[in-house]
Amino acid sequence: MKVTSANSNVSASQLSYAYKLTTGESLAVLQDISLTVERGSFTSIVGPSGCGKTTLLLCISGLLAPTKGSVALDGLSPTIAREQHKIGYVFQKPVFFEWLSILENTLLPAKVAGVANGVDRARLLLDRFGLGGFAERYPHELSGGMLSRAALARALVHDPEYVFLDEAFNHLDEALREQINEMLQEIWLDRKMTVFAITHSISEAVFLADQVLVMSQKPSFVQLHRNIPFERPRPRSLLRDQRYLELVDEIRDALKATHTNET
Amino acid sequence: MKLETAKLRQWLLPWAYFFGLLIAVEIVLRLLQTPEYLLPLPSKVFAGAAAKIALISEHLGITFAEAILGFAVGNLCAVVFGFLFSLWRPIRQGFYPIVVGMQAVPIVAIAPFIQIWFGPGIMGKAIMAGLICYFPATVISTNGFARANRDGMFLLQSIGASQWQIFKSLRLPSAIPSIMSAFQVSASLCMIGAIVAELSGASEGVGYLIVRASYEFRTVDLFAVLVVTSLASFAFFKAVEFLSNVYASKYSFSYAAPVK
Ligand SMILES: Nc1ncnc2c1ncn2[C@@H]1O[C@H](COP(=O)(O)OP(=O)(O)OP(=O)(O)O)[C@@H](O)[C@H]1O
Ligand SMILES: [Mg+2]
Repeated sequence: MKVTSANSNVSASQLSYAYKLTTGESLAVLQDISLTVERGSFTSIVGPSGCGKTTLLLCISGLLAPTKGSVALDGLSPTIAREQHKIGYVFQKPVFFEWLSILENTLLPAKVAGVANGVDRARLLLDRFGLGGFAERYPHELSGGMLSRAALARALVHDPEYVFLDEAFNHLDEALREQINEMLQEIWLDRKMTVFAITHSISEAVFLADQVLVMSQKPSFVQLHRNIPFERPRPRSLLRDQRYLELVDEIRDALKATHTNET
Repeated sequence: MKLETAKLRQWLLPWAYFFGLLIAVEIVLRLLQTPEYLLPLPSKVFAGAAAKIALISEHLGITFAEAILGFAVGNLCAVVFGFLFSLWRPIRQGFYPIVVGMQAVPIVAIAPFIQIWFGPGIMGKAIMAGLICYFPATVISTNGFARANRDGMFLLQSIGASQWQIFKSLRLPSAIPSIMSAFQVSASLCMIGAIVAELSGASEGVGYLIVRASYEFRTVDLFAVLVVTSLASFAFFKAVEFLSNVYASKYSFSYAAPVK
């Protein structure tokens, strides 16, 4: 029984973004993107490298101001949503403060948001992602995969309403990746955050999402907006389900089409 | 074990060379029979320093106090300005080039004016010491505050951090290694500033001792003061260097590497 009104969804309308290059030229990356996803839904974004997925997430979270168009998170401007500590973000390039321990790094959003039991939450999440023994270590003492799990813990520590994951699982091996995906699904089923996750793995995109967006080459738009109807929680056996495999194929084909249209 | 001896060697070698040089100078001066008022024998200088250590220390204490005061105030201003420059672009664009340009001005040349404006007390000397630290320290710490990277900024903005939280958790920590280098540069400059100010008029301090000794052609005393002051200044620099490296090592790994 989900109610859909202007105030219970994330929407972008006519969103365009162009980078100002150092040469003075401008580089059009996003072009008139309009999309609406339901509050509390999980959106996977796939698209060719360099098409503007990262840029799209930065615009939706308000970290970049769109050149044109607007974004609303349940009726709020992204800036207000950020100021109210409603956003959790895993950046494509891992960001850690070298002078803080992993626990302190993970804790940061909770501290900024003034969450009362921040330390407990941070420890719990680190434990859950298999980093319990590394809380007191420093970022340079952890592997890339460990850091990406810590970044995920940090993005969730203040119980945000909107979560942005920019290739959050890139540095994980296949098995661990599936494991973390399952945990993420669990947390998501519990908290019902609105999630946007960029990934290069189509099967992961389909497995996790309520809808998959396929982006075109830049200047990019949403080439395909595909709803994924499987019920939750989704068991691992879904990965061998015929309907699932068909959807994966459909999206793979759409992604291939973007490459042939390359200019 | 081997590492220990290597370290000891590294530490001892410069001193061994230094004393070797002094002995060579002593021998040459004795052979040439150079008159004492031109260049005194090192042995006499050390004997003189030892004999007058109480007097020299007393004046050195005053100079040191002036230098430290200048060091503290000059660096405090430098850090505050560096921070302000990092906050407001127009202010940086207008003022920063002036600060950089001021480094070319021989600040010591205004010592006589400082003497006129602030009189013979320790105030004018501290101001001179502060001024001589201020310009390089501002340039260095401004660069430090500018080091806060965009990724860290994005992270803090994404979680809705306030300006103050951004300062505390990113800008200041990023600037600390630079602020520490500013302290190191200032540590040797501040003594120079204080002494230069004393040279153009003072009734106490090592600058005063130097002026007196040179008027009266007491070359041995002159060099004795120089030796004691240099050692003290060197010790102060080393202390600042040690403390700042220990502190900065937490904030920058590449910065800390050469210490070990
Ligand atoms: N700060 C920037 N300044 C100028 N151009 C940029 C900047 N960031 C990205 N771009 C350009 O914008 C385009 C889109 O970049 P973006 O990072 O959004 O792509 P992406 O889809 O996330 O790629 P990938 O899958 O490789 O991460 C690229 O062509 C890139 O060169
Ligand atoms: Mg990207």
